[in-house]
Amino acid sequence: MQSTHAVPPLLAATLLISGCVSTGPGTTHRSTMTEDGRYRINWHITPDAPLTPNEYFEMIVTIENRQGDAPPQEFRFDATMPAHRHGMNTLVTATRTGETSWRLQDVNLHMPGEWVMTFDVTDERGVMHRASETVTLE
Amino acid sequence: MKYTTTASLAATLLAMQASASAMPPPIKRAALSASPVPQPPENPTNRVADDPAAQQLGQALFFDPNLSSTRDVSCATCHDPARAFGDGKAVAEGLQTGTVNTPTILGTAHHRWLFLDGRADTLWSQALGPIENDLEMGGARTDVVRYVASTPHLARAFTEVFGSLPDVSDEARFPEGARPGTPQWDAMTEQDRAAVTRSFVNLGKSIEAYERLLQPGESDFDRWVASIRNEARDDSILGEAAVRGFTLFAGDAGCMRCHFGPMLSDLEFHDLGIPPRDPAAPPMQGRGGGYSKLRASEFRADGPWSDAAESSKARRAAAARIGPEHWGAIRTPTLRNVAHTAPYMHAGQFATLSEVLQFYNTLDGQVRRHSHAEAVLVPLNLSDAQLADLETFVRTLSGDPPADALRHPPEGFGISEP
Ligand code: HEC
Ligand code: HEC
Repeated sequence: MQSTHAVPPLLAATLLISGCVSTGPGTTHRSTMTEDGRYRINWHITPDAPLTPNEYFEMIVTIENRQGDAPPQEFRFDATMPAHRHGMNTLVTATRTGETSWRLQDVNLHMPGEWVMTFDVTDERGVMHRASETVTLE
Repeated sequence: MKYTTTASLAATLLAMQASASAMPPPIKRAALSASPVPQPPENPTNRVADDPAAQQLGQALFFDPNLSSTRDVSCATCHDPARAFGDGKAVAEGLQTGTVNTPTILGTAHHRWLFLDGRADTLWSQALGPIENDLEMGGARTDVVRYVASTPHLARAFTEVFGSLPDVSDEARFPEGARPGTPQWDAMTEQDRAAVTRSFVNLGKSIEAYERLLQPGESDFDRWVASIRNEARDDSILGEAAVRGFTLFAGDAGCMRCHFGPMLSDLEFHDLGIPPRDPAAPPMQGRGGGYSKLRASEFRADGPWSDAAESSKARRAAAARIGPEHWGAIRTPTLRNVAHTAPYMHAGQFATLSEVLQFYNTLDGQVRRHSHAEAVLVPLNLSDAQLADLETFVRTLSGDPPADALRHPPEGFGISEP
C-alpha cells in the first residue's frame, strides 16, 4: 500500500526541486531539459515569489533550441499529482509572447505535495519533445 | 535558546518545558500558514462589495422574510446567527425539506466557489439562488423588486446605493410570480425583464456586502499561533491535548492536505465517498454538475451582470478545469467554528465530530463511485487517545461571534428578530 501520509503535508514557501539547475536570481528561476536534450526550458514565476499551494501565479517560459535555429511550433504546459491521480483545477492560459517565449496565466497548484510539471514542445516538424520537473509544495 | 538572566524561575521552567517539546519546523510553518484570518479577498465583480450603505441594506434583506413567497422564510431562518450562521439540522428546511446541509456562512467571503458543488462564483450571485429556489424561499425576482420598491425604508436605502429603482407597480407588465422559467416571465418584454433582473442583482450585491463582514472571530487556535509568531509560544492557550491534536492534524493524519490556509479549507473539491443519506436518491453530482450549472448561469463572474467581467477573478472562474475526478466532489468545508455546526458532511450524515473522525480513521462505509474518486484518504488507524486529541484541537477553532450589531436586523428597517 502506498502510504500517502509519508509526505509531510505542510504549507510553507518551500520549493524542493529534483534534477534541475537554477538559472537566475530568486527562488523560482529554473531550467529543465527535454528528455532528448533538444530543448532547454527556462521558467520563472512573475512577480518572483516562492511556489505556494493554492495561490494563482503567472509563469514566463523561454525555450532554447540546442540543436538548431527553428523556433518551436507549439508549447503546452501541464501539472499533475501522480500520487493523487489528478491534475490542476484550472485551465492555464498560454500566450505566445515571442518566437520562443510564452506567458502562462492562472497556474494554480492547489494542494501541498508532489507535483509533476510537464513542458511539451512541438518542433518545426510537428514532433513533440517533453521535459518534466517534480516540485514538492509544502 | 534565549533566556534572559532576569527571567523568573517559573518562566525559565516553562520555557524549558516548551523547548523540551520543541515544535518540528514543518508543524510550526503549518500553524503560521493557517492563522490569522485575513480580510476577505477583494471582489471587483461587485462594485458595492465594501460600501457601508450597501452593507446596511444587505443586512436588512438578510433578515427579511418578505423576500420569500410565503413571507416567513429569511436567509437567517437557515443561517441563524445564534448557530454560527447555520441551522443545526442535517438537511435544510425552508419551504420544503432540502437535500443538503446548511453550511456556516462565517468566512464565506473567503471561498473561491460558493455552494457545496461550486455552482456560484461570487457571493452576490449565490444570494440570488435561495430567493428563487422552491425548496428554500420560493420567491420570484419581480415580486422581490416590487416589495423593495414599495417598502419605504428599503426603497430609500436601495436608491441611495444604486441610484434608482424601476417602476414595477403595473402588474400587467410585471406579473406576480414572474421569474425565468415561468410563463409570466416569458410574457414580459426583454427590456422589462432586464430592468427587474438588474435590480435583483443589486439586491444580491448588497447581501454580499453584508456577508463580507461576517468574518470568523479570533479563536484559541489563533491566539496560540500568535504566541508562536511572537516567539513566545504558550501551549497553555490551547492545552496540551490540542497541541498534540494539531501536530497530528498537520502531520501524520494528513488533514492539511485539504484543510489548509486560514479557512482550513483548500477552497476546492474532493469526493471522500461519504455514504449518501438516502441511498435511493440520485447521487450528488458535486463539482462536475456544479460547474456546468455555473457556466449556464447568467450571474457568472464573467457574465453580463458582473461589474468586472474581464477581471482576473472572472477569468479564473471561467477557466476551471473539470475532470472525471470532479463528479461527486464536494467543496472542502471550513473547519472554523465547526464545533458549532453539527451535524456534519454534505447531508448531515454524521451527528458528531467524533463520528467524523471515526470515519477518517477507518473509512468504514466509504462509497467509491468511480475509479477517479479521491485517492488521498487511507485509514489512519489512530488510537482512541489520538482521536480525542484531534477532536480537542478541532474544537479550538471556534472564534468569538461577529459584533452584536451584525447578528440582528439593522435598526430603522422595521424588520423583527427571526
Ligand atoms: C432553507 C434554508 C436556507 C435559506 C432560506 C437560505 N439558505 Fe443559504 N444555504 C442553505 C443550504 C442548504 C446551502 C448549501 C446549498 C448547496 O450547497 O447546494 C446554503 C448555502 C449558502 C451559501 C454558500 C455557503 C458556502 O459555503 O458555499 C451562502 C453564502 C448562503 N447560503 C447565503 C444565503 C442567503 C444570503 C440567503 C437569503 C437570500 C440564504 N442563504 C437562504 C440553506 C438556506
Ligand atoms: C482529501 C481532502 C480531505 C482530507 C485529507 C481531509 N478532509 Fe475533512 N473534509 C473534506 C471534504 C471534501 C469534506 C466534506 C465532505 C462531504 O461533505 O461529503 C470534509 C469534511 C470534514 C469535516 C466536517 C465539516 C462539516 O462542516 O461538515 C470535518 C470535521 C473534517 N472534514 C475534518 C477533517 C480531519 C480532522 C481530517 C484529518 C483526519 C480531514 N478532515 C481530512 C476534505 C478532506
